[in-house]
Amino acid sequence: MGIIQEKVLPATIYKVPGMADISMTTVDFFIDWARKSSIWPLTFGLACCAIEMMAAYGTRFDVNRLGVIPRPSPRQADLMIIAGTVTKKMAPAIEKLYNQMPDPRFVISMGACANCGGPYYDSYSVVKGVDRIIPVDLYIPGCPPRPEALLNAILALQNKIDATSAARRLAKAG
Amino acid sequence: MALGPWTVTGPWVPSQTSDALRRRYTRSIIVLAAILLPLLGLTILVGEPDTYFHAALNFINTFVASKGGPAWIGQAVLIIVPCSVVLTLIQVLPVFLVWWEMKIAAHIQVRLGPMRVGRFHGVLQTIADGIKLLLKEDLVPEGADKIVHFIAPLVAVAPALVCFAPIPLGHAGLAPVKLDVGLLFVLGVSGLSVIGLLMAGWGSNNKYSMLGGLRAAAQVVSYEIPRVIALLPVVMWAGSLSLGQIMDKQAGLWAGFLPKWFIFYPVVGQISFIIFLISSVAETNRTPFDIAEAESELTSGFHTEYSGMKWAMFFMAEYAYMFLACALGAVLFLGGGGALHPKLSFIPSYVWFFGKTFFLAFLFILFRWSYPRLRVDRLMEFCWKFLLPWSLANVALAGFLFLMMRSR
Amino acid sequence: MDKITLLEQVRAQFPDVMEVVSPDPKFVRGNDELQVKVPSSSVSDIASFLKKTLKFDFLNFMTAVDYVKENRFELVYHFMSSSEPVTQIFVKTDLPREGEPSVPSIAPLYASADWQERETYDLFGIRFDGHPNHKRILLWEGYPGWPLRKDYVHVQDKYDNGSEIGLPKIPGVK
Repeated sequence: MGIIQEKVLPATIYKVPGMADISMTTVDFFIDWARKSSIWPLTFGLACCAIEMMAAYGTRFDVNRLGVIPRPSPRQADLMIIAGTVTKKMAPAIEKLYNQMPDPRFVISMGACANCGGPYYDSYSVVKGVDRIIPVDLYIPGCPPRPEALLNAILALQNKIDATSAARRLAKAG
Repeated sequence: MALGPWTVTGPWVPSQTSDALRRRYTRSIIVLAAILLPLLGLTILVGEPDTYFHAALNFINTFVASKGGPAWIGQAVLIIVPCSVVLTLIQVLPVFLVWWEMKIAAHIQVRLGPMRVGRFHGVLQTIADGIKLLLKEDLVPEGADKIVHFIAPLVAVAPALVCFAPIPLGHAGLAPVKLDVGLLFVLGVSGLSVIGLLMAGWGSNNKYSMLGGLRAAAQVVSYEIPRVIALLPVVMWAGSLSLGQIMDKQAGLWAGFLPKWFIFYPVVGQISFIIFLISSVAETNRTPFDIAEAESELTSGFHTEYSGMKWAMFFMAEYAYMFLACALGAVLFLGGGGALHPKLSFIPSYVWFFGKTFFLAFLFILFRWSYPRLRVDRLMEFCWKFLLPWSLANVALAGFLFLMMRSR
Repeated sequence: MDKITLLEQVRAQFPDVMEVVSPDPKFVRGNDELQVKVPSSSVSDIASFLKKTLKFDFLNFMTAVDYVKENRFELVYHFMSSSEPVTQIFVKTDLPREGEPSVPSIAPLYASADWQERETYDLFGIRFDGHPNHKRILLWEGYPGWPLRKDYVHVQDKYDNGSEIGLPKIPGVK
């Protein structure tokens, strides 16, 4: 059984300190694999980081290799990349779009402005970080972050999605 | 490597391809050949399926008679099984077509498409997309008409599946249902999908979706007319609406080397084919006529309020209709299951049929990623002021041509 | 036409126009184009004269400067001519800072003045009489205050809660 769990069903055993090992089924593995292999972002390019995001979607840094297809409608997207400065006038729109996304959904905050207000922290019209409005899963530092940083973030998000089933079981058990 | 503008983005011409890339491309071609050539050999070995139909029918009849069952079970099985096989095929084909389209789009844009998801160049990408869409939360907008919202994807998809019944997937005997009015059936039933678009626009409780749905419906209904009129010369010449008979009339060669496919008929064949191709691209809401979907880049398309599997149904419907248009084009204009040359007829007819259909599908995908989008008023103007008069003139020309050919 | 003829033509029509010369010799370029100071009530007359007679058909930009120590606003208009591109003119007017400073709008004459006057109204509070769509453009309706005035004090709103640097905390604001 151990060989099957280690060689055939990789990464299905999670060792949690203080608790017994959590073993996951193949269904969980495939669900997580499907969700992480097909991340469809809602493009929300607001400012300069949007240019780097477009470069990442372009041919040199191609995110389509990872299965990422940008979708224009929030109903069909499962990731929202907030790329750029979040102004107070835009904040209700971001909230509305986040609410329109179906579960399971993730948010990547790209760039210094979306993380914490960035260079416009003291401004009268900038929200100091998009996590004051919506919950954020990943932060990418940079002003603007290079397209490779966005690619790294998507890979890190894939790792996070891999752990969602385990996280759900932990929440149920613990 | 020579210095030039393309050294930065990547090689575009063989003389600038570095050795490593040349090795990699050669390896990809060898892998593809290693997959496809044995498949071709297998199909040649297996031969035509309906040599096995009679044996299967006899076997089932003797089996059922020995168990004392009624005599019609053999016939029923022989109808149900091919239909189920074709239904499954049509539902599985979009999986391949979506992956193929992403790869072609990527290579047109000098990049690689999906690479990570499956072992080899992302072949499992569409399967991952499908599983993910199945598991998405299903949203119904507040205030939307629930029944209409629920049924719209079904109404959009179902005609596409049904329309494959009379199409011969190879030679005439391989049609799941042999209809005498096959062409009329296909053209009529495929027009029912417009109702699905309108229901999707209405059931979303979103004024932009409604407008997008109306525009899409107007476009689809408008382009049906030149499409049908462009097919009139085919019917005139074949003297029958049955797809199998139209296909059979395209057998043979002219002057020993040119197949008697309808597309090779002087002037009339080419005009008919081009009008049919352009109208089919417009019918399936593909670029350069995808103002209904592209609206979602501006405001919303008709399927903007759909999430998860319902949206996947619309997506699948688009590819099923595209495949239907390609299949129809292959049967009517490119000779269906007929081989290029009688000497090559050891390759089974369904290989020829799918080869021609995938060639047309490649053209559809090429159009999508090469041309910009038409504005909606120019789109309608193109249909009513250009395609329709030309298709009518084509019918007149066809009448004249066939009269001359028959009187000779 | 050169600076002197242009000034003479303008002064022939409007005698109370004065030329402004930049006092700082560092700003060499500031003295290449003609800058004139006009009374605020005659702005639209001068603009229509410039447009119809002298063929300055393009308003490049218009903005305001807040001289808080001299207790005045200075509006700056930059007109250019598309038929003779080298010819430009800067028209400046002074407005008092108290009350509701207002100036006649030149939006009916120059299309590009439409949004630029809305922006100036949004950020400085200067009213433009006769503007067809006199609303805020960058900030939202009901925003308290005029942010680009030098004596602007930022009132905390719901997006500012919890910020430490630069803004005073107002107790009672959620």
